[in-house]
Amino acid sequence: MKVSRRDIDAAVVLDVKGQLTGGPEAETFRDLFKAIVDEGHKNVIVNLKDVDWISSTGIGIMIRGYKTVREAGGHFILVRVGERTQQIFNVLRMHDIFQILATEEQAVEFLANPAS
Amino acid sequence: MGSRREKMEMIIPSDFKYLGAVDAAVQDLARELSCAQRWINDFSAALIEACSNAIEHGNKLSKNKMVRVVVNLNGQQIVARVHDEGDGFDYKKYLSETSPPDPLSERGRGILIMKAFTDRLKYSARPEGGTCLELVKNCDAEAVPKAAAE
Repeated sequence: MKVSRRDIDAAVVLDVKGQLTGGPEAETFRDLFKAIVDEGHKNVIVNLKDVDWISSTGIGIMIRGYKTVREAGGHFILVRVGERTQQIFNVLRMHDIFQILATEEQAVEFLANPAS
Repeated sequence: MGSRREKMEMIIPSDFKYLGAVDAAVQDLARELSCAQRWINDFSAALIEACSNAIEHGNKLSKNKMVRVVVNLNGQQIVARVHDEGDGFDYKKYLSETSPPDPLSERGRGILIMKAFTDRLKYSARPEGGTCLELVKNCDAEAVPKAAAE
């Protein structure tokens, strides 16, 4: 798994690539959310376009991110969720927890006016 | 798919980075028998969870312990057996979990994924030590597109 970070005006965007599961990279990813919040950023967009599949460990990482960002008063948005990840999300009803949008552009649009 | 059978056996170290190889091998196996992509993706998701458990809870991430994966696929069902070399754990308690964890819990969803994507799960203690988890998924109308089955 590889995670690349981009800072845009509205949020920090994390582009995830590969298999979202456990291991040393997962631990680094888990800690990244706190580092982002500690830097003063509020909103995080996670782009899952290049994720091959996600395991329950990967779901746990996403929940850590969600909790960290929400506790800091920000928005945590997942975009471009692939078919295999979607199948897992459906089974676990992750849509009840995560905000999931089709594209990064939609996420940015939402963050520009989150109350509407 | 008809009466053809395919078998795959892998032995992987207790490291999450090898889960991708298990997924790829199962995908190849299913492709040989023209299984529907969605059907095999479901099964592979369950198998990945089983291997993750064997690595983390069975072998406790020990680099000296291996996970053995055997998959048999025929016209009726796909069966995988995942063997670990750990000290065993309370798998009856683990299997009895039916309700989702607290929505914001970071753990506890592996068994739900395995149950959702298979027809049968069975844990057993191995006489030589360790645990074996058997996963079975029956072939239904979704498993093989009609044209491929004929």
